[in-house]
Amino acid sequence: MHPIELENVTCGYTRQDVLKQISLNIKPGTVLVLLGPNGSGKTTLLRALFQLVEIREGSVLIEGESLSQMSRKQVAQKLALAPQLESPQWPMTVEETVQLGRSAHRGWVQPFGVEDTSQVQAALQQTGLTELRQRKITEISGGEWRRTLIARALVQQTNVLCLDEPTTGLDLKYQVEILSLIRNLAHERNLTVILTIHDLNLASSFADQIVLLDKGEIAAIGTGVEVLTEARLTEVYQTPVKVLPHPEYQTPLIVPVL
Amino acid sequence: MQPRNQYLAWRFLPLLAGLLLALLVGIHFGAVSLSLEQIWQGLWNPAEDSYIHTILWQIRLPRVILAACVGGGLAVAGAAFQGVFRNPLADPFVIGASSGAALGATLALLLIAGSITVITATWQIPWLILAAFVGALLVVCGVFMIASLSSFGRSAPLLTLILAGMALSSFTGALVSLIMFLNHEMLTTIFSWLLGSFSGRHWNEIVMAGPVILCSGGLLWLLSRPLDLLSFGDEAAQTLGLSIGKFRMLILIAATFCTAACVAVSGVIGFLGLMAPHMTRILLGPRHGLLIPGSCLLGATLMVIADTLARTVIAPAEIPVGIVTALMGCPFFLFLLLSRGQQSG
Repeated sequence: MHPIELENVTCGYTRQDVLKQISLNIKPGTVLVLLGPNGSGKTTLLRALFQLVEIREGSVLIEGESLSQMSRKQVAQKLALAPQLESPQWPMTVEETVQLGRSAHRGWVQPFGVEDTSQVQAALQQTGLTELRQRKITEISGGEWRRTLIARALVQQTNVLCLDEPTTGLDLKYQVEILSLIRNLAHERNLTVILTIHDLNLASSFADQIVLLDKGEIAAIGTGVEVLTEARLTEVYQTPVKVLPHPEYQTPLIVPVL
Repeated sequence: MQPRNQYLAWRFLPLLAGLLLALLVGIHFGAVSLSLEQIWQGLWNPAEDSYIHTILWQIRLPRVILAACVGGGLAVAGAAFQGVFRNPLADPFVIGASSGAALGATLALLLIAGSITVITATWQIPWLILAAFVGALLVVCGVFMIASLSSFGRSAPLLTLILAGMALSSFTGALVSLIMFLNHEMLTTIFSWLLGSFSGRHWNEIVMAGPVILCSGGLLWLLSRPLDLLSFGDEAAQTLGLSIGKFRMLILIAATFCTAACVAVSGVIGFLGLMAPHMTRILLGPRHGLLIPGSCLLGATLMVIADTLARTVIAPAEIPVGIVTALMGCPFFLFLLLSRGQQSG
């Protein structure tokens, strides 16, 4: 069974359709990267999976179950999202923020238990936040906040993890660490990861599968070598690029022509 | 994590001790001062027939207990309003719930009694609470709808919320003024009721409003985790599994009910619902599981202190307690505005 299936999905905001007739089946244990220029519908596709945008046509199936029939809590037990932007209102600690990711498993009244605590500690360690766990989220850097959001999504213990621009604001070390962590989780725990990203070379290095979006439609789908071609990227991004083979990994290396 | 939770539980002790001390001070001071020994003996011999016993059981105790209930209730409602609106400047007063409740209660008194008097009959109080609740709910829903419409369904911005609250508060205030104008022979009574007071209140008010404040406050405490999740914003709360529409409505109804019960028995007392949650957040952190009971204790303490000041500073005359809380709260509100301005600037 595919963890996520989209069939002819059309969705958007107010009057405008952002995604048009999107069909997509995502295999378990895959790192799928959504690529495309600004406004192509990457974030909207992620938001559609969480019913944060109106789905006008088509259907979304999560592990074979129709998304429209599921409660918010059921969705949160199957899909986790680390959003691109989130502005916290009160100065909770990093640990408290991550712990709230366990809410869908504990209901709204039941206190957090030993299992929740061990999940939180593991996620803090995986994201390199153990030392910062008592720091207030209003007093940490943008990169640390992004890692906190990823840790909060990890403790949801879902089979599908969605990340909206997880590398934005991170320095090179954490970009590589976070993407390596995500790839390891996907391959070891058979976790399906869907992420949006702007950096074509990072996508080329880390993705098992790439979906290239253009004006709300799928322009190409496949491995990095299949999707990231000079002609296609030049057309979609409307700027000339050169695609070279990576000297070490043989993956496509994209260089803009200045 | 367990030892730290136990440690946090100990941090409630100073708040509890503060409340007990405030209650004791509140019982001690008055036209006739009661010594600790007299209070102790009076408390343990409730059947005794003496003037000290009458002062203790008929005047001081109901007054300080009602002040504590109302203070705790307004503080819990304030913490809930701040959480659900994601807004540190929201409280039952700023958001318009208090003025809506005042309008509802004023209209109910006109309809029930034919004129506005100090509540004397027990049967009037449930109707008063209901009318205050309807008035408060209408105004809060109005504020929320205006703020949501102007922000196209996204999280209501601070400024819009405050402005909508101010506009509807002014509107309801004008309606109350109109009622006062049309019933000018009752002007002083209405005016002093609107300023908030615990003068002349007895056990009746505690019996009627106390359970409402306790139940709605308890419900808000049970909704602590949804309130924590809402602090991340609507979309984040939804992706973490919260049906925000259902929970937001439940929180608003409980907080409005709590406010209405307080206003129905004490009039409009501002700023306490703003101050107490902020002070508690400094002491116990922002998690609502601790914030709500902590705010309740601190709000109760502050209200008992404010009421004690209100009836002793210019004794034998009495200042309406709403004036005392406004004098205490206004500088705090301005400090909050200025410190937020410095943060964002």
